[in-house]
Amino acid sequence: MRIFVLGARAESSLPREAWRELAHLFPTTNLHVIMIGPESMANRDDEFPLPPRTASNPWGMVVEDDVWPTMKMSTIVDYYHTIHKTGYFTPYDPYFDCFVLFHPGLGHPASSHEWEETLPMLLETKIPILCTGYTRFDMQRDIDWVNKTATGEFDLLLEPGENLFRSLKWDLNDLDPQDVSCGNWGVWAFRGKR
Amino acid sequence: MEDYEEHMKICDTLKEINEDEHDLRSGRAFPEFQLGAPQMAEAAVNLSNWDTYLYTREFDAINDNRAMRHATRLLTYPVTIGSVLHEFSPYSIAQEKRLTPEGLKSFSGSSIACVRTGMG
Repeated sequence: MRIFVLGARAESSLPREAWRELAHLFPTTNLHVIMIGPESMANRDDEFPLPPRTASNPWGMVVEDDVWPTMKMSTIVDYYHTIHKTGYFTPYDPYFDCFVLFHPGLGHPASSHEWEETLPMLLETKIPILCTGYTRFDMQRDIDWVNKTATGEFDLLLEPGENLFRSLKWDLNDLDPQDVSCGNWGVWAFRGKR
Repeated sequence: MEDYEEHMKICDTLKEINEDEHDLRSGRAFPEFQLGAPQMAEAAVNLSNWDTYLYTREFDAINDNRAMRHATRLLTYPVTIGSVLHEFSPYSIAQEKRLTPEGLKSFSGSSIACVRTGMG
């Protein structure tokens, strides 16, 4: 099973013990978690320099194959849409592959434009796209954006709502004390229409 | 002040955030970050909510609210994914369980994948 975490930021530097929970949840499945995005090496300074881009490793992927005997993690510091165009990850398996977007800010005015080129590619693969949001407002803005950008081109897989496994720790926006959020407050999922 | 009650709720949350942040930087030992061991094949994980999850995964963090806040801040990333893809997902096509018929189709593959196959 391949799990592509797109626009990875803080989650890519989480202790590997945390990520290992996935291996314990799916003990008989081989898992490959692939962190992709320009900020996917944030807070991982001791792992630099990145591997060179070579014929056998064209994206200079950082590979950790010892997370667990059944689980591998890889990191690519680049935009998913750049990699998608080369067909590097094809074929996609609509039942065993999955995209995960943690608080992507699809509809956020500062990041929306970065997802414009990506969205049609994600839909084209027909694999599930799991999204989370910091708050109800943040998540709804993403949903509205997808509705507007890809009208009629996707199926909803999981109705948007509060995530049963949101972070119980609240976080504060230092610039706006009224803005209280938490990691993965809400969750929803969709995919390209078949 | 008409929003007094809301205001008090925000104050409580702000206080909690502040105390959590201080605690994280206190330098104390953090047993809540000693994460789980492999799940025994005969003991099913209960993905109903954080309480049942941490309990069935035998996390110490379950015994203290602050420890739970710290631990869930990390665990939310893998467990959010797992909770949607797992055969014991709390999301289903039953009323108000949020999974759509299309979702059932898409996620059936990953949930079949975790059915025990005699390993473990």
